[in-house]
Amino acid sequence: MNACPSPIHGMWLLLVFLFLSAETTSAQTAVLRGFVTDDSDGLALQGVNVAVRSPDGRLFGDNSDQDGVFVITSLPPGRYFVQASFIGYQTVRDTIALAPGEIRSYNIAMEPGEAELDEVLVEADREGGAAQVTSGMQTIRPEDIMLIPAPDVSGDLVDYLTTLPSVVTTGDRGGQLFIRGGEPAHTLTLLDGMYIHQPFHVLGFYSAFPSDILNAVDVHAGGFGSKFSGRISSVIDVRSRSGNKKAFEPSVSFSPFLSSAVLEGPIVKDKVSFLGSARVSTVEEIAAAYIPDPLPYSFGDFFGKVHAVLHDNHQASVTALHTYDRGILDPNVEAGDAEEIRWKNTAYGLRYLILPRSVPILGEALLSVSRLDTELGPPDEPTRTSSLAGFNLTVNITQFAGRSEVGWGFFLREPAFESNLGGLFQNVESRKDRSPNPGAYFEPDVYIGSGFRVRPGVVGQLMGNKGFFVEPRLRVVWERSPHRVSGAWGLYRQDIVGLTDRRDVTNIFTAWADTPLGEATKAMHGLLGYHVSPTSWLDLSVEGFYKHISSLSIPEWTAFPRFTTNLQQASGRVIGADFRLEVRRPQFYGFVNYGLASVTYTAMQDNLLFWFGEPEMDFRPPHDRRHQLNVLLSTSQYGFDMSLRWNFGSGLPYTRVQGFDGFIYMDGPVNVSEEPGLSRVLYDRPFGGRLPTYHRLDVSVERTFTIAGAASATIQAAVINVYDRANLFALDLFTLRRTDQLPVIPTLGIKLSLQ
Amino acid sequence: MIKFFSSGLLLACVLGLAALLAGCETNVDPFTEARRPFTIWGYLEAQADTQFVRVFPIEKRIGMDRSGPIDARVVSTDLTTGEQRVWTDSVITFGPGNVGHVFWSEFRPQSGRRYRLEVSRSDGEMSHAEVRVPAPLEVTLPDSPTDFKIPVRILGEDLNLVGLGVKYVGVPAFPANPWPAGTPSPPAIVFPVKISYFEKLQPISGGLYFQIDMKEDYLAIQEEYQRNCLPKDMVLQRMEFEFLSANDAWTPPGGIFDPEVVVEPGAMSNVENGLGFFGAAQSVSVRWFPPADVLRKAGFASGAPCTMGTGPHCVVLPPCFRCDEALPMEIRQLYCPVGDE
Repeated sequence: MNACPSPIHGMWLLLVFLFLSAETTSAQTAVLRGFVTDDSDGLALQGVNVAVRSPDGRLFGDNSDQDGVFVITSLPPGRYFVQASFIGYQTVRDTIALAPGEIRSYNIAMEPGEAELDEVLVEADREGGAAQVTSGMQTIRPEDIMLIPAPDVSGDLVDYLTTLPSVVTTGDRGGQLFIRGGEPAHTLTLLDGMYIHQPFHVLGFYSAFPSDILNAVDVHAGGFGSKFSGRISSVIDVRSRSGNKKAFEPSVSFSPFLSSAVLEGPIVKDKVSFLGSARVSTVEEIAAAYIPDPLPYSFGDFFGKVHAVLHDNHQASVTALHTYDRGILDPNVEAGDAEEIRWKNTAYGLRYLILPRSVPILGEALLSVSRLDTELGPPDEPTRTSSLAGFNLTVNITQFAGRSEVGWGFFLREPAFESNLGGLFQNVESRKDRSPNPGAYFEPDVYIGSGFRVRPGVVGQLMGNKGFFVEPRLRVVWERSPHRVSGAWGLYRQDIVGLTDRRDVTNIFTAWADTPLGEATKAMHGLLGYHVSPTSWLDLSVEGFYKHISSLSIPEWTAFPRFTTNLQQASGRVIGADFRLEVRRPQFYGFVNYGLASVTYTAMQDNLLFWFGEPEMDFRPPHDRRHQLNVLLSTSQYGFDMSLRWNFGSGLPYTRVQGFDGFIYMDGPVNVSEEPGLSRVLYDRPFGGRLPTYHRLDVSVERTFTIAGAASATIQAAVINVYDRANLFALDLFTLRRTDQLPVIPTLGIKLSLQ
Repeated sequence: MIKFFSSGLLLACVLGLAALLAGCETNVDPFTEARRPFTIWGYLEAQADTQFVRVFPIEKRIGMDRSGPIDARVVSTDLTTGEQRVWTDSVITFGPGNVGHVFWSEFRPQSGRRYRLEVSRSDGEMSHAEVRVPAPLEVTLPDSPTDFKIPVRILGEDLNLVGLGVKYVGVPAFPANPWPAGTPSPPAIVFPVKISYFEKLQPISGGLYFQIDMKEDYLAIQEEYQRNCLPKDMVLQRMEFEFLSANDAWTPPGGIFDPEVVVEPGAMSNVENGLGFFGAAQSVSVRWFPPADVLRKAGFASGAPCTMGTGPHCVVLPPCFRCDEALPMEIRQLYCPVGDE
């Protein structure tokens, strides 16, 4: 305990020093910063190029971030010509005079229209795009999502996530995503800073994030920076958009799988707006009527956000999310024995954003509470339950200094979990616990010159009773058009785990708990990537990655044919490469994503030596998909938007069996004429078999019609699994009954909007 | 137009590839090549006139219900004399859905001799095992002990004791309080508790030695009784010892019997081209009645247990007693006040 205060104390001293030095800098030069918004609806505009040019021709600039914030520092006092430009908007021009040491708030409202050609541009990255990956991070925009064929008019984030090269799902139901070898519980999912612990719905086409509510999503498949902590594999950082501050916009949509309604509008015009979304599944009511397979699924989500411009330099928003899911993943079981799984997410968050008048910083404060409740079994008497709840208080500060910036912040989290596992993991008892997690991070982002940008970082955090941990990280980017080379390295720790029995793909019950087998799970990431844009319409990228994970908790293997087991410790290694090709033409868009990956776990079960003659055993976990290919073709012809997606994945590992026999425990004098014995499964080497390959073709055609005035209707026809491929979802080794993924599904959806 | 055809060509390529793959294999066979035909459990018992082994065909279906005939022929051979015996199949119902095949043969194996057991299928596939019957053993217990610590000596050649345990056979001692005449009370139940002494064995000249600590064991018995919702005191009726000296192969991995370990195929198996375990053993069974003075010193309860309708009755319930519908009606009427269920 004595060792804990020292690093935190040192970090605070450093932060104070940086803060004071930034103030000194600001006393000599001027700063121009503000928010960029769309004048038609008051929404923040990301990626707007804000450039200022001095009379002698010196150029300064910045691109607005997801909140529309731009900050231009180190401006010598004097007069400047200001220009803000963005595709699809009229360029804004102005002239300003800056005094020595002045920090000028300058908000820009851009009107939709055609940009002019003689724009002044500062160096800018194109936001989003299938091949735009830098140090493992890719930004996904709602318009990207809408290109993916899905059985619903409105898109969903998960539809896009499953096209990423090394994102593996175990099927079209279950809501389990494995990102670059990491388990679902190793992914940190945030919505406006709120923890969403189980963000994916039971049916694989849907998550808690419809594209209607999204601003942008950053997916960090690995090597993520110090701003994120507490998970060891990846980050899905979802940022919702705000509601229209000018006018009300309702919309409703219907499809055989889901119906939804979205309403947004001003509460106080130009100042305060709201955005609400409600989605309810209609699978059991509509889709099940014409699809031969059983579809015992019900789910929905409700999202609400109020955003307020409190003043010209600070804003606040309140966000709430509730999701629910219910389903039976193994429809083969007899009705009375069906193990229904249910889960609910609830989260509330407050976000406050400020550009202080006296210092050139961007401050962000986040306070949220999140809860996930999961149950398995009959609704009245669940056999297993698990809940994870907690709050998250985070303060993020970004200090700007020319082309460099310093990010730092601190956080306090306290996840609390309670579980009743019904003997699922026999060496983990029912438990109720808390794990306080205070910490701080420091992450300067330094532009060295010659296209080099370096972002070293460090997180220091106390993880419950596990101790204090320091996690260094590094991100390096070199860019000289059309080339970009990026790399990242980092150490990561996670002290709460989601325990899931991956011996059975239909068993997705996840029990959240303190790491049951000792120390916090930890990982080391390393990645190196190259991106090139040989022409304005073509992007190519390749990124190699490596992850080493230790102190994993996985189920032990046993020959008893039972559904409960002990946990054993394991380590994991993930190595692979993502290849992406993206083509953008005026009426055609397409990408090809190929992921090559190898995931190897090393089991450390006590009796491996007696069983296999090895004290430790390497095996391929059930999410080790070696090859994955996604092809998307999208075109607009004669007013129709047509998309086609083909997904191919090599077979996932599973455990084969030699047969079944009986077992008599001969630990002494045993009368075999009286001893009944037990059934036994003669498993082959764990996960030594390979399921058939997975592939599926989805297509959609969509057209929007103007009905009258501001009202419009979008009609979408889609076919999922066009050639009715019988992709295996689960195989019951005891009964040899197979459950396939969804068959060919035609859908027709309509969305009515008023703008 | 060119762009349109380009995208159309791409589309055609993808559709063509998809159509090709549509015909790909979708079936999955979860079974590996099954080469081993049988699993055998049992052992040759030198003190018994009839020998038994249970035979499981290794099958592609789960379940213990093998009520029909199985394609198995069991033959044992005395490798010293060459004498062969064909064992007889018996179908035994162990419980609902659990019917097994136990093969038996009437003979008494001889110490020091090697025997081979073959279980063969009509297609020639065969599982087999060889064992050597160990030497006899001798057990000595004190005739008139005065202390609750009881020395036990086991003498014999190359002793390999398995499952050494001391079984305390007794009944829970319900407090004896009078009830109104004619009131029924729960019957006494025999609830034995087995204490392992395997880890307390010590080698001595010509054999092994261990010391029973009845007082320490009684504490373990009380814990076990309370775990099973019984009054914690036991009225001891007798102690039972069963000593099994086994052949060398009858040794668990790591020297400790752990069902999670030995259940794994091959973890403790001497069956060639098959699974399971076929052993040989010399056994000695002893029933022992400790003197009342020793029982008192060890802490055991004395007196008659509860009986149905006569004798002392039970009114003080164990703390874990709960009124619920699983209890017999007469017990609920006596112990459960109205509205307490």
